Amino acid sequence: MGNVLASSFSPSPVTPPAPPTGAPPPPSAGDSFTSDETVKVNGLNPGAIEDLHKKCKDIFPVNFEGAKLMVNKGLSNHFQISHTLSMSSITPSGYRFGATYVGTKQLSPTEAYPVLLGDIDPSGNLNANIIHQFNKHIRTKFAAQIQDSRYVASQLTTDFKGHDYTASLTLGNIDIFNGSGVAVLHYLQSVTPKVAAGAELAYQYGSQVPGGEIAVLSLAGRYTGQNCVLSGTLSTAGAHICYYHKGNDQVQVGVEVETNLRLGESVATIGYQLDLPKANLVFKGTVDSNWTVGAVLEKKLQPLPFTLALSGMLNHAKNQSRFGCGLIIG
Amino acid sequence: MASEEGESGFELMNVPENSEESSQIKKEDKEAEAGTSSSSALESGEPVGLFKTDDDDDLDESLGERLWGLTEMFPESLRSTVWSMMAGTVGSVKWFYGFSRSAFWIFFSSSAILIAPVIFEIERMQMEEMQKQQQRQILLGPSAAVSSSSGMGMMMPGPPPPQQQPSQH
Repeated sequence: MGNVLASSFSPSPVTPPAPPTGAPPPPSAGDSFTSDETVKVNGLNPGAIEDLHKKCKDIFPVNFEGAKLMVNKGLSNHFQISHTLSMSSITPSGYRFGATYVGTKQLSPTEAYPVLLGDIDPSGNLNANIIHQFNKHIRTKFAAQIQDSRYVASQLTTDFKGHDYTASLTLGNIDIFNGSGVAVLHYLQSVTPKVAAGAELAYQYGSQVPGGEIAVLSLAGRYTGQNCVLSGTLSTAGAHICYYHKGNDQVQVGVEVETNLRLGESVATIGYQLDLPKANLVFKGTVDSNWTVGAVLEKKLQPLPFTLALSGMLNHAKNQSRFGCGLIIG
Repeated sequence: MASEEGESGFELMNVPENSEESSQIKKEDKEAEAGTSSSSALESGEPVGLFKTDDDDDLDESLGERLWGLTEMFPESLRSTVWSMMAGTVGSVKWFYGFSRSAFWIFFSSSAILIAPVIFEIERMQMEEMQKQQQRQILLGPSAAVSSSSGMGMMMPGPPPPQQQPSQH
């Protein structure tokens, strides 16, 4: 307990205008609002809208380029540090130091709060996350990204988890001096044990925005079946539909279609995940409508706590390929 | 009627040709004495008659031109149909070659990324299982191998036959 199992990759940001949450991976302790290994939701609470497409998105591989060496070491039950060396020609190479602190307030055997995540490199570029759960209903998250001594991105999220609904408010990049920022309001309600419906209102104001302010309303829905999940969001800016299907313990398949009406383009993606625990292997593959194929292979090299990650991505249309390999120790 | 006209026209044609021919022969004799080439036949602008057997005129047509001339015996529609069929076949073979190049490249490179690692790992895992089974069989006897067969579809039919033990090879 208290041992924070950091997942390999961080979640995607809330909305397009909101800032990215940065490199440090959040602990699995933060998954208290979402369904666990099974497809059924815990009780009636539908989870947050951020996790609406989570089951499907988790299937898709996150391709990386270059070599990556990560050494994780747990100093105590509450504290864990990581050293990361990344060597690549596409993204600048460098060393990053990361630290994770898990607090003492324990809500269940797998979660403890507050959680502080940080990631810094020798030039002073910092990504930081602070997650805290005040009580059973309210959870707050603050993420900041500092580059070249200024705040590039900052995001404050507050979730209120009710009996069968979840409401959350996110404030991003609030700049008092320039008068710009993004505010997003989410609401997701569990209509039946299998169906959840909700809405998202995103509001952006500032001098950069044409007209001074802009708001986008979108609807969200999710249907959870026996071993499949269908979720979608619909707005004037586009539609995003995900379908997840669990074949058996070893195979999971996901299909995603994303349409952007402003740019007039749509992308369809098929992904699959193969779990072979006997071979200590997790393989994720994806095929795109942009003529892109990609795959990530993660293998635990027993008996030492090494994990080998191999990533390959090939774009047939542009005839471009990106390959990466990584070794995670500890 | 037409044949008569044709014949008369032919006779009319032949008469001046004969006179021209006789004058030409006289010319040639003179030029042969002078030592000039036989290209003077062309310079006089004389049409090639059907009954002439001059070797000079045969050399003016190459083999390809003579074969091409043979095709003129077929009607125009047949000629154009055969030509378009040939051109279509050649063009489609070329297109198919180019298309199959792209298709094979896309198929094999995508399968090298998407499918090959999984297949290799599954094979390795199965081989390791088989080796472990054989080890157990050697150490603990044949019955241990049957009881320890995994659920990966590697069912041993009945007690394993003794020739599978490597020590007996």
